[in-house]
Amino acid sequence: MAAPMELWCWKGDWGLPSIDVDCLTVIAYAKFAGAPLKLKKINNPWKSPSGSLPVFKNGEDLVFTSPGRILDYLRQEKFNADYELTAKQSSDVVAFTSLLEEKFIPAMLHSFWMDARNYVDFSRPWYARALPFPLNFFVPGRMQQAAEGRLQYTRGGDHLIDGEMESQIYRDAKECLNLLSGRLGEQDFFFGQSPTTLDAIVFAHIAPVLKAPLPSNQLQNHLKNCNNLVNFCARVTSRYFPSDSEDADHSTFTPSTVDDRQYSTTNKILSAGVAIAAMVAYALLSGLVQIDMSGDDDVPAVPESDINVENFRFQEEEQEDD
Amino acid sequence: MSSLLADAAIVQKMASEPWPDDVCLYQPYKSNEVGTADSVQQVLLPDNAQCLAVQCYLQMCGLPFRTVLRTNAEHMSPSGKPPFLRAGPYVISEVDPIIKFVSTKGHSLSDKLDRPQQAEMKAYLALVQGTLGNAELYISWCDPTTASEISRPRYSSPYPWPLNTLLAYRKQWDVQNQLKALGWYSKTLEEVYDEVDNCCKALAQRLGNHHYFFKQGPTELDALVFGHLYTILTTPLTDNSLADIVKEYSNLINFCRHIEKKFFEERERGPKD
Amino acid sequence: MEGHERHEIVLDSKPVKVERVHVDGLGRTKDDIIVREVKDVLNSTSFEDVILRSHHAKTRLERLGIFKNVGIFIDTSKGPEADPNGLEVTFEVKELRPLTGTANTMVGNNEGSMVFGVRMPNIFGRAEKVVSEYSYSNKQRSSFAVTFMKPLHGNPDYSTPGGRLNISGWKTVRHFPWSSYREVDRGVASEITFPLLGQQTLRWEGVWRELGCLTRMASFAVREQAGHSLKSSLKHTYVVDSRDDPILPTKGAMFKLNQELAGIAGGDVKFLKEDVELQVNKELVWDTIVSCSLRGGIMKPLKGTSSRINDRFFLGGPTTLRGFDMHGIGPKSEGDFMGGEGFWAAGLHLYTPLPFRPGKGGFGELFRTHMFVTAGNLFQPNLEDMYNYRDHWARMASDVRWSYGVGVLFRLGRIARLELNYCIPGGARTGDKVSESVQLGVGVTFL
Repeated sequence: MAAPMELWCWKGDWGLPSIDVDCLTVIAYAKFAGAPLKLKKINNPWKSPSGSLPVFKNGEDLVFTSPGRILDYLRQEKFNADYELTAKQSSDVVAFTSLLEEKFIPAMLHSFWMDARNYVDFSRPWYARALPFPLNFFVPGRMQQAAEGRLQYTRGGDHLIDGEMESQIYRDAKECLNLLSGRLGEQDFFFGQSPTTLDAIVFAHIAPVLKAPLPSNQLQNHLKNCNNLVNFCARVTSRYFPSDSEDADHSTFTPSTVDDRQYSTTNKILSAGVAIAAMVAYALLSGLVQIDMSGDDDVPAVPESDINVENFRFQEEEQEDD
Repeated sequence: MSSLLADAAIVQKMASEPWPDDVCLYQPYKSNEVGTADSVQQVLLPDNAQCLAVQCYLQMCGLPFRTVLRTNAEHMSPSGKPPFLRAGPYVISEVDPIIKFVSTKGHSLSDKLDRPQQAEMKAYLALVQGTLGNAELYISWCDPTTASEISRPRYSSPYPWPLNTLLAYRKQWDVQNQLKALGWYSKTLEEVYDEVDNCCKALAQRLGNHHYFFKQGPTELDALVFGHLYTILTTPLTDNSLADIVKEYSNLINFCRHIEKKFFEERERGPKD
Repeated sequence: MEGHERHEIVLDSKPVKVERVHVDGLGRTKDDIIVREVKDVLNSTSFEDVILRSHHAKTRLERLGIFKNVGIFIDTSKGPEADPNGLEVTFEVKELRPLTGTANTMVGNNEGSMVFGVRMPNIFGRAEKVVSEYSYSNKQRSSFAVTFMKPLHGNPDYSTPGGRLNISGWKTVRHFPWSSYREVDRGVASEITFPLLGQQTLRWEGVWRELGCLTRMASFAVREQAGHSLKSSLKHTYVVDSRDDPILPTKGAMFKLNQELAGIAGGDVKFLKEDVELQVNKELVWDTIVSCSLRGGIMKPLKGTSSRINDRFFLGGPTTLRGFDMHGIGPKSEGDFMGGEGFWAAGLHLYTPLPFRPGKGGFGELFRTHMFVTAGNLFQPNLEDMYNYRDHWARMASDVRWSYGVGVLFRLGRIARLELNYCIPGGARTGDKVSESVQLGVGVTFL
């Protein structure tokens, strides 16, 4: 292999090599399969051809962005963690992956992006800090919109009353965790002694929820009660990502202190920018008004009777159904 | 009339009432239904799969119900998606809530499974709904040929001009947005076929040569898989690529034949004898 | 005509000739409509005649609704070829701005709304105008409408009966809590209004109606109505109105006939709907007015269709059958009012000024007290058996709801009135929503 395989991903925190589910899936799988993967924590989704991380590169031509494709490629390159699985077990991997996708991801999106407290106090500041300068102003907002859109389209609807979507989502996610916990049982990994694709995927989904210091986190509380899943995460971290967990103590994210300072600077720049833009806009607009409407600044004289006629007819149309 | 059954009191109240006599399953018109406006060929691949899955599930439970066809079934449904069940004062739409509702009446096919099996069943249910469901939506509304030759004409058939065109495009736009939010819209048709193939492969491997997915007997997974696969196999599309993928797996075909024979043909013959 | 010294000029006898008429200040207004309005001034024969005709022309110009103000100047002719008796009349006009915005509040039948509007008066220079409005009300109703209005030849007036052509398009969102449904309408209409033994209006409208359940608790009968329908209908309205005021009339009568045939040239909604309204006002002694109103309507679904909930009649509420809730009587299904294919309602009012006449001739004139009796019913006519009058009568007469009471009225501008009534309902049936004792109503039309 001429060039090393490269993975562009989101940076890690709280003892994880990356905080993003998709990036973490690939990283964990590569570790399990023993694939040499060079991580580049670029924290900039705009550098990706698909607009989202991770990006997998092997040389110049081979570029994948979907974790499924990346894993397929790694298996093709003989980095296979699933050698020992039977056909039925391979099918179970596919099925449980779907289960996480359908039942767990919505709750995760909700707690990171839709829960106002978590978004304002945690997700937004975290991504704003991680992203490079101009992007940090709008990428978090766009990520939130994407999460909201996905939840609305898949789980929302006019027929739901307030809070119902939320409770459904969390109920599904908790059920999903219980099912996984039941499936894992007392084993070290889902299929015995060595980790497989499914372990990579489950780890990538639950570890961020377990480790992220979200201000309000009902999902985390539920997860902490599933002891075998918590142990499973600890096992994966200690066996496969020891260096990251050592950093954890130094780089623990403290939302209030660090970010207040950063925010005060960005806020100053932002407010100055907004003020200047507003002044320019005002000057332009008022200038335009003067040019167009010079000498005619009186209040438009709309005949009183005219309004009345309009309204009268307007109302009358409604009356017909009586 | 909650479609969600979140309220414990409601669940309890429902449980105390037996399965009503007048349960109706409302769904859109199919191509060859008898007795009503025969020109209406309305139902599409994704909706038909869901309707068939519910029918199959109720048949498996041995619960009596009547199928009612309505052109506005989609709009009547509380969640905006057909089919929906009307049982006494309750109106419940979509597969999952209907299965939950049926279980509150004391009928469940998954009780007999042990805990790991239940987990597996839930996982395969998610796989089928997530992969086949989205693939059906993709093929119906995102493939330009299928959308223009099949989906839009059929969807618009109950409406007068110019409402038909407007509503069909609006529906297409809605579905495309939904698939965009899920990341499916950016896939190519080939990638979608690959997903379907992966899913079928997983199902075929899980099924083996048995009649049902679990040795204890039919479950909601069997009903849902039948709903999707039977619809894919029998719905004429612009080409046969989708059905051909399923046809690669002979045990899935046998599975469909068996379910059809056991729960549809025999039941239909039953009352006449 | 003006002078500090006393000159006696007998105006009406002096023969004059109007040689020129100037109109100053025209911008985008086309000449032809101005010429039509002012050319009569040229026919003047005496000075008095000039003044009268000029004043009349000024009124006509103002009625076009395209000028902010109109002034008249009359002067003797000047120039070498001027006639000694020649006059020149100059109209100084100021055109309205091509684009104006409005924002106002509006009261309707028990709801208040904010209306934001943009109007483009005189858009093509012939007194046409385009009015676009967005309104949002406290009852979660919103609407957007664009209307193009063109006065027809010789009848430039918008406010009194005259010929005009309107083309409009709109979108409205309305909630109907008494029937648990919401409706989104998108429509286009064109209508022509012309005077003929009163005022006639012919209107075609095409409306795409989208109906949905307001809540999950909506009855199944309402749920069955959910979905889309397209109505293409021809409407005819005939109004004769000799009342002195539409809100607090003291004399005169009004007759209104509404008929609608839906299902012409497309659409899947097919019905024929007729509805009449009659009101007679008579002044008794001491400024006491007795007013009697009668309304009735009937509809027949055509070509084997059945009527839809949003086409049926509803009755009840503080502006119609008092003492009952808004649309709160009639057939019901699981708590939702379903409306009827026929209705009648009658009201008898005795209006008097406020006791002891405070603020007489001024503020007090905005108020009235009244005593009233109203009655009405929604029914399901059997139109298969058209000539069985006995059956129709029996259906109309069974389950009649009525109410009586006293109240105070307050006039809101020139378009609406507010009523505070103490009502005692009677004849209520199980399921009717009775609104006993004090009831507040705001509206533009009243039974």
